[in-house]
Amino acid sequence: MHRLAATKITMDVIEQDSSENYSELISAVKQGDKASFKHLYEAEKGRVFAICLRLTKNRELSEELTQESFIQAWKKIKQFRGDSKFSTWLHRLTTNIVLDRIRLKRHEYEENSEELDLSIPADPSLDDDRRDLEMGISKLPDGARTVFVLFELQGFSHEEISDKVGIAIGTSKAQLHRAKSMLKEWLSQ
Amino acid sequence: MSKDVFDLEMDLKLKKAIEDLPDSIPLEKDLWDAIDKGITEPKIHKNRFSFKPDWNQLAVACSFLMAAFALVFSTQKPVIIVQESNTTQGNYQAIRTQLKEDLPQRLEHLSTEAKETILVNLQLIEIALLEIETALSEDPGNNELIALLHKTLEKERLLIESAEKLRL
Repeated sequence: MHRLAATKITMDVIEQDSSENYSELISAVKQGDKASFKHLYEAEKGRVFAICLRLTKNRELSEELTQESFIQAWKKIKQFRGDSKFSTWLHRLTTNIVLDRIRLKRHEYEENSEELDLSIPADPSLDDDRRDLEMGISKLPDGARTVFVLFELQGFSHEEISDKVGIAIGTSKAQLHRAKSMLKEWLSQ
Repeated sequence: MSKDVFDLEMDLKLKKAIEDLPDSIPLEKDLWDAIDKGITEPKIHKNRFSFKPDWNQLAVACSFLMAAFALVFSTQKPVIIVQESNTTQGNYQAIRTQLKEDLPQRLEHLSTEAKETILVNLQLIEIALLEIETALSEDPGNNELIALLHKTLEKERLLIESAEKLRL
């Protein structure tokens, strides 16, 4: 695809926002068009980074995982058949990559996350509740935060969380309850 | 305000805050150059230990392991053989065969980082097993070595299973 054509499609996509008409870009990416893939990256990078950062609390690690997610998306794009939204597919891929990393390097990750407890910046444009919630999520214990982010923000079911995280469904429900209780406590202060 | 009313208010407040939470967080630096490099050069070695799998070497290592295993179980005293050989040997041989046949496919779906970590650990285990095999060939009746071999094989089995669990 010609670079200008890709740019026009992306501008259209950005204008349409949630309608997410990525089909032409994705077709071009499947043919190996990096310019089109860059437009997908520009459109999705913030959301992919948000998933990584909320799950890991570590900005540097999240940048690395965001990078890895897009590289894997490029490699696996032919597996995307359009059964779901591209963003849903990409975010699931990202979640799997983050959870893989957490499982493989749990010790190192836990050490880093202790030090980087407040690495999610307090965005001044957010109102108090949303800013408090963002900070609250970053303060949650690892297990509770993972389940909360996957269930409430990523839309995973407890069954899926159980499968992906390797915990019992009951544990997932208990961690979600714990997370919400802690967040409500912080929001009430 | 009653506790129930307070709880309800906090439920609504949390729900509203979740709904309003931005689904995007701005990146402080542009990652495109690194991504571009990553998709142009599939192997990423940025500040990481580099490991290129050699499937032929792995296959040879697996063959050695099978030979080592056969040696251990064929040189044990009858009591040990009767208790363990029928089930354990069969299981491990099945794992060996599965390893040779399925490992490339199992690893294909993992992230680069996960794949490298598993392959590095597998190679370390292979080296350990070869050393045990060498020691056992000199001292076939050494129960400590036999126990160590079993423990190491079990670690390898768990590692291979972890590759399966990590598949996307």
